[in-house]
Amino acid sequence: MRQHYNPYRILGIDESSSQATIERSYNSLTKWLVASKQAGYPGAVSQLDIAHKAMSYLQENEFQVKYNPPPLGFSLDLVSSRNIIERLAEPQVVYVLVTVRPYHTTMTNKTGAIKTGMNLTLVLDHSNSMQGERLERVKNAARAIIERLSENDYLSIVQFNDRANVVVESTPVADKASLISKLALTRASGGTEIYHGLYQGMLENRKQSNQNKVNHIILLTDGNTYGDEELTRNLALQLKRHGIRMSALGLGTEWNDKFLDDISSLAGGNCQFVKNAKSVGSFMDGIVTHLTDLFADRLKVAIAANPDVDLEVAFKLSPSPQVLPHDLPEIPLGGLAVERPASFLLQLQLPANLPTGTYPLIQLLVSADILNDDSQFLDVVNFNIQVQDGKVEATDPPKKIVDALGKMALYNMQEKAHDALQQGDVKQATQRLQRLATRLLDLGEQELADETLREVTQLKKTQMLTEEGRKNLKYHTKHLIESD
Amino acid sequence: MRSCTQCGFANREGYLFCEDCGFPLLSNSRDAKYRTQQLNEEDRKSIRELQLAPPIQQMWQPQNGITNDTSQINLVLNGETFIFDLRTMPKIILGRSDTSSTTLPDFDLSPFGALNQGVSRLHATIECIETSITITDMASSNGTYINRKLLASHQPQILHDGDEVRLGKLVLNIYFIGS
Repeated sequence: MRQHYNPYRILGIDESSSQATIERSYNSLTKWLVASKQAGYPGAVSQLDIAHKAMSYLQENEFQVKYNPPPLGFSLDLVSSRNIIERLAEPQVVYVLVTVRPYHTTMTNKTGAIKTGMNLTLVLDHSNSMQGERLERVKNAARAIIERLSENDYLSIVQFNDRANVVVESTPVADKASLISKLALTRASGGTEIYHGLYQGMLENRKQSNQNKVNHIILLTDGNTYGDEELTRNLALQLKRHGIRMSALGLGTEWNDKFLDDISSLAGGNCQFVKNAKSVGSFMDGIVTHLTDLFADRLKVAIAANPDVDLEVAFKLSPSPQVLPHDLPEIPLGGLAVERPASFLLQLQLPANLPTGTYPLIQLLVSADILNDDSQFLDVVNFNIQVQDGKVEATDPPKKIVDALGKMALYNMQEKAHDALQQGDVKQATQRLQRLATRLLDLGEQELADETLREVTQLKKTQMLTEEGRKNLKYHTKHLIESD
Repeated sequence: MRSCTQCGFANREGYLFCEDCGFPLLSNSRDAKYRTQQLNEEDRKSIRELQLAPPIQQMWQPQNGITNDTSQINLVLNGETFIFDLRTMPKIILGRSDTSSTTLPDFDLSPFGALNQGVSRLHATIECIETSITITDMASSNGTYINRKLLASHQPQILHDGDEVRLGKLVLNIYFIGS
């Protein structure tokens, strides 16, 4: 697989730089990256790797390289909450928001997924609780997906309860009638064990998976998995290594949202709450539509920060807002559609008593597989903050950072209310939800504010939240964050 | 460190929203054209120390905030009476409009000098809860008082016929009208 990157940008210099400048820059960059890696930033490893490659490429060509950007790629744009800070005797926090903007210089093959075809696997829960309407709706949704796909696409279907079986082996979607007829045989029974289903799903998906394609698993479940959480978590990481992403749909209210959020974010996807079986079809269709629009997949970021800096939070704002697993060497960000930038926000804690002057805070390497092109595109962006003695003139932070944080605060408030409740502190939970309601009202989210207050009433009466209400608040406040 | 005006939590420098309660730390709202004026301690003290104006209380037969026979309330402000029908409007938000507001109050107090009197943009709500008419302070900057008693924010308090309500320094009298 080819890699497209601008070697000068990777080394933090411009094309006109002399050999001596390039070498100096390379040396200080690699030194900084090694320190970052030793301080526990695993993302520094792939950055070192690409810095070495860029340097040898320049050396081989006697520092006479002219970089031509490929027709499809992206540019990176970074803004921070503050560019200049006062040196303080206490730690302080800086936010960094990164936007990945796709570009295409030709209109051909801009939607690569259609040409290459999609490699899709449905992993469907058919435990006892799915009996009846739910199973029928899910079958209909699967049928609609079969109707929608073409013979360029590969589909496999796995169903699981406490064991798994392959209903449709990975096959081109050619004979639709025969695929659909296989769905009819499903019957619901047994308990829910996600691991087996997902494992079979991975095996099926791997039959066709490659770096040129969208390889995707849609996992649908309506129940709690027991005892196989850790195995499933490892499996999610394995999916990621194989270049397979996974989206999860939680149906009804009985599933474990924390767990599904966790495994789907590890596998580069996200988890959605399907309150009512009626809407299963539209959720599944939504995922397939999103996948169809992609021109690049497996977008990811490798983070290296100054050894003294703590990366406290990484949060994806778009597409599909979610907490990112920020301790992974390469943090999956999903897929990239042509007209839709992706963005994420980092919260960094800087130590007390910083040295004054330019302080190199962070460097990010973002990469994605360009579909249908057998190539990977990479770019880096870094950010240095200025530290000075004495007061810094107050400036407004960028509006998009304030907006994002304001909405993330809502999501965090409901998470904290839930945490308080888990610790048995009903009073604290009530207060947090009431504050959430006020903030929601202030932001014009009348409906969600009312729903929050209904949960407050519920909480006062029963000392508990309804599962439906809680999941609603969680997934709706999360959804609010995406409002580009 | 930056203390949250809402909950008092000490946030690290650089935070834009309170780590504990999620409220904006920049100001009341960064975009607000006019920030809610903070009343000073003297103002607060004077609110508490003022004697209740007795005549109005006596003119009206005090009754509990029971909605069985109450369908409307009158808010009397600067001698003007405003009638709200709780059958058509079960929840009334009192506050002050501002260019930055996304939610406007149902009863906009701006024409009554709300800004100078320390009224927040979303200050308090009046609504029926079960059979009572209640008022709830919405974490306003300067607080809500019933008969000079400061209310805890977000805790609905039962209103009684003839109660005097203060939003910051702004005074309202509330009367119930039976159906």
